[in-house]
Amino acid sequence: MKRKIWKVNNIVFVLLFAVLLVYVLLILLPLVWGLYTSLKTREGFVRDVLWPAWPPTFNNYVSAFSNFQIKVAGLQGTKVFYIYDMFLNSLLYALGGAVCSAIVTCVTAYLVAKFPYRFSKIVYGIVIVALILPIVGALPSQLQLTRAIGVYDNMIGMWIMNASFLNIYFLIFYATFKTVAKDYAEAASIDGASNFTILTRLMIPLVKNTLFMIILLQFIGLWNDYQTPMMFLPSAPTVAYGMYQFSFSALNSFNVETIKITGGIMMLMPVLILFLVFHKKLIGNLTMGGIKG
Amino acid sequence: MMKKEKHTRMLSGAVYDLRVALHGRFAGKRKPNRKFMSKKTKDMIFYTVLIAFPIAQFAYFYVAVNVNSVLLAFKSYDILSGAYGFAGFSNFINIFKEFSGSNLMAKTAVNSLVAYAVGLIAGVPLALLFSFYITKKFPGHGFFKVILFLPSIISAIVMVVLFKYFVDRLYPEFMLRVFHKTVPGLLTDSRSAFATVLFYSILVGFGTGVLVYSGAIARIPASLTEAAKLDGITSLREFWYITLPLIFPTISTFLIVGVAGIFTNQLNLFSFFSSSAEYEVYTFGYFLFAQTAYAGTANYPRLAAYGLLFTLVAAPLTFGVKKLLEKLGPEATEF
Amino acid sequence: MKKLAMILALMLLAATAALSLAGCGGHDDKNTDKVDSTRSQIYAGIMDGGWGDAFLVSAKGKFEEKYKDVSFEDGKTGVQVMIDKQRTYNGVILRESMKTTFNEIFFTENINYYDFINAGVLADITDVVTAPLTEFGETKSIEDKMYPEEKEFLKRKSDNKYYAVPFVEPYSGIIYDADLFDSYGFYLGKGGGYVNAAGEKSAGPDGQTGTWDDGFPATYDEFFDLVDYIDGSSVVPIIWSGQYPEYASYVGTSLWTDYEGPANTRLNFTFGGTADNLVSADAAGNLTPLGPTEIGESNAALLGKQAGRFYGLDFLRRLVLSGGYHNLSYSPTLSHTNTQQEFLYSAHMSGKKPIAMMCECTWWEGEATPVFEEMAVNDASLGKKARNLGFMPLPKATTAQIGSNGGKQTLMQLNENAIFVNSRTAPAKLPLVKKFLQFFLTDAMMVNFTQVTGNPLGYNYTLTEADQAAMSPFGRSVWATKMNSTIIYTGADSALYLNHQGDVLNTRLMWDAVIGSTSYRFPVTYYKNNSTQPTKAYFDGVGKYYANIFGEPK
Repeated sequence: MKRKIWKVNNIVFVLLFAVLLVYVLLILLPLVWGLYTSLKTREGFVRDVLWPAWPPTFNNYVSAFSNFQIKVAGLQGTKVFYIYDMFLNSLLYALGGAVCSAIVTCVTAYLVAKFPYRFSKIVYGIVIVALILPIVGALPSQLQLTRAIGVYDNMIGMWIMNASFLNIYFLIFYATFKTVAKDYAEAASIDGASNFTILTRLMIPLVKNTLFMIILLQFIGLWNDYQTPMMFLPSAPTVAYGMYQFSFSALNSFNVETIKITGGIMMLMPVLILFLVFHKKLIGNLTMGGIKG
Repeated sequence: MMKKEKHTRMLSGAVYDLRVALHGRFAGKRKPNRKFMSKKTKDMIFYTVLIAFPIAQFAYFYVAVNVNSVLLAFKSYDILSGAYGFAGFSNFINIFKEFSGSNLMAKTAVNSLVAYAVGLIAGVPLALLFSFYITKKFPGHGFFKVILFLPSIISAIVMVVLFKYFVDRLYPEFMLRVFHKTVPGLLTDSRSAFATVLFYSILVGFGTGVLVYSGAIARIPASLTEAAKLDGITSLREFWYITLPLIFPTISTFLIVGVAGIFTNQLNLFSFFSSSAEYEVYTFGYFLFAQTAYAGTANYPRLAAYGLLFTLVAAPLTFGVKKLLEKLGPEATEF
Repeated sequence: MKKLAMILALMLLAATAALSLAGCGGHDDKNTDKVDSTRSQIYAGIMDGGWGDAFLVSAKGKFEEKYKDVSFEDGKTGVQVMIDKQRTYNGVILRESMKTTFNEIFFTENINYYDFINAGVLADITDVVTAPLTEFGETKSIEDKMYPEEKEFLKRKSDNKYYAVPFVEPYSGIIYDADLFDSYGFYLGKGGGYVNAAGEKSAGPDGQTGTWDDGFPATYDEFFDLVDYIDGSSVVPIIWSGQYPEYASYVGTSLWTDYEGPANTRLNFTFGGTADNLVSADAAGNLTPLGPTEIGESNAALLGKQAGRFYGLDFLRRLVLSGGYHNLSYSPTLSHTNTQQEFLYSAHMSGKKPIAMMCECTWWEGEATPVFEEMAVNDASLGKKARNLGFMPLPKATTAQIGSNGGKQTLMQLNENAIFVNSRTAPAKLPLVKKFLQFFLTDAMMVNFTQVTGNPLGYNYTLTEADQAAMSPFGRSVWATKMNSTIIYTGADSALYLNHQGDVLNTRLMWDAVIGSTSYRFPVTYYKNNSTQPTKAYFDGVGKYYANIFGEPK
């Protein structure tokens, strides 16, 4: 009996281990190949796509870096956005959007959890329905309506557009606030603290880990998304959108396979290094979010 | 489990500290005009002021956007005057014509369904098994977890650039040099292109699933699995009889929300091909996005009509799947 | 919060560190010329495309030298031409940015001429277009050098004024590696079989020996025999860009216009006159003539049924079915410049199969300049001027077509190119800017343009043997093409054309089709995925697209 269990356990383990190993190869091989391909000349690439070339060259990085730019033609003439402009735009877009969204979600969840008005029940119901009810293809309408109130192509407008509480994190906050004993808030209230003070000094610090985790998650999502900035923020290109442009641009000076691949590696490396350094913290935090979700 | 306990301890500690701090700080700052306004009124004002923005945001960006989308579906756009007019059901009639006479829409529908089915049949079970592997702390679990989550951190467009050249340039070269076979790139050949793109989407899509599932598995009380182990149970049976039923609510949430993916999943096609993907690989999600991005204002009513139609299919389907899963429930997984 | 801030700060730090390590190369800004306040400036905008800016740099040098001692503005002596090269300087985007840009003269493409006039962004240049270029020692005016169709289109009827003049004149077709054709013997011999360059060659598509097209396939059948022959010689017959399949469609365009001849082709823009070659097709490829048909506004859609379109499509379909294309020809990762690079390297790299032909347009050589330069570093015989590459004469659809149209090809001038002056140019500067325009279009400068770019301008002018000697072999073959072809100008002032310019020209020249109710743009993509469909399928699809935009013919 024991032997059989041991055997089955091992087969399961070996099979899963093998599948996971293949998975790792599939993820890492393109990255490794991309890395050494980015160190090839054009001739080196045409000659041999398969193996690394010697000696390596760093010229692709120089070209990719200097050509990583977007020209936005507007009424004020053509404006050139270089890589650091795009970084700044990404930072503004992602951080602003993440903070606005997380805070709005947190505050709304707090209000709904702590104030037993009928309206609160309605809001809770709205979130549940919106999370389950799939609405497809509202993008054209969204474009129209954002244009109508000047949110379109406006950084702060983008924060407002992102500042929605219709997300799964609402439920996480809601559950947390529900479980926080009412006594503390009431104790504080009797001591003369206003509702606002209770919220900012007591409640938000209570959930600051969750808040941080959600800001981080939203930040990563917004930072990586190129489609929304492409559709809604044409005059402030972000790096992700820059990478999309770079990837499909027909501009002669960098329409070489090695330079396109270099562009990818250039965008990948900083994120990869940071992730490898901070993955414990990040995944740890995310798992906690997972536990509550 | 360790982590959760620590977290909870930290939480309660913080609450205690805060309570002390609050007593110390606010005791002396008692406001004299407390009776001026009742607590009820104050609560009401506080509530109203703070919830005003979220509700306004919701009213505009959710309610108004979707209502406008429905209205748009019944309009037409005149290019010369730039004005919208009422079009009745003509947008829908055109869509039905497009569907009936075109193999594009047939292909798109098949691809979208295949993508959903493969995600369901291959993606979900693999994510579950991977999560099981990780939470059981089998060898290399930490490393695998990092790699599984890696694609979720990196921008899709960056990963796709590398993957695209890898499968379309390296693969044929590899086949030629190693197996002396001349084959087209995996994206070049339209027969393999869809499979490749789908495979890629599943490959990079494990991150969230694995995190959430392993979180759920970790939440299973240790006493349960320990008891089972004493009874002499293989890890396969443990997975099937204990893990699966206990985390079924988490899985079913994923499955329910995933139904809409039939109509929204772009399969990263826009990152692979921009707006010029071949019809052979189209999905509904890609079709809608690429059209909106490149077809211009005049097409908005038609696209809104598509959206409305898809929603009319997706919504009942979602609730149907929800009902179905509730019925099947965890009991059904037991034999 | 602190943690987040820290991670973000580190993220930025790492990113910037990685990037600054990667490249301190600065920006690829060629326009580093500093404004010289002692001279008068002319601000010139060009589109950053295949032509590059070498031609304008060359003209700038000569113009500045000629007028270095002349004063055009008070307190200034001499001229300085400032070149601003931008990808966005074309089409509708340019029309809008002209309302604010400081650039005074533009050399660009994709111009909807009357749309630009109506937007008020173009200056009246009639005076310099019609005046003889006497200041430059010539007796002709710019107008005298223009084709009749160009004059008719560009001289606005309502005020008899010019607001733009033609620019470059590109064509589409097949590029071949003449060195390879010679060494492998891919020329058609006089008595059948294949010979190398020195051999006795067949008469070619014009049916006459001793002319420019000897030894090239005279018909589609001969062309596809050649494809098989090349394939059998361990050489890849042909390559095109998988990312931009329109480069293959372009070949179909040239074959279509060549079949139709000048009069029938012009109908597609004038929409007035008799169409001779309208047909309906059956699945077996048999064509039934519809007889000569007077084309007007009510039946413009019939032009979708020109027999030339059928044959152009038939060629593309046969090309796909022959399988003679390079295996990257459908790769979405193979851009047009990647295609050029594969083509150029293939014959000179051990372990590679050489590629004999490439679907491209005459501007490709400019785009491929970096490849030529890199290849020439190790071997000077691989530079642009040294390599024998050519623009292939077009094969005919049928044997009956050999020698048609007086032995001349019919080719379309691509891309709606134009030169014009910004209406916002300061009145005091206007004469100087216009003088530069005149200078650019003197015979000597037109020759110079052709020598630098390897492409003709859209005007009547001549190049001597000596002029041509300074050009690359490919540039010479493009010139030979111009000399042996009737060039079709795509502009016309018919209301139908002006209202549908975008519909007709936008998607890479008239291969839009509606099959079933699905839109298609690229015949080669359609036939790869629908290989059992006959030529008729796409041909009827083009007819349907035409009916959709022009209305069912009455």
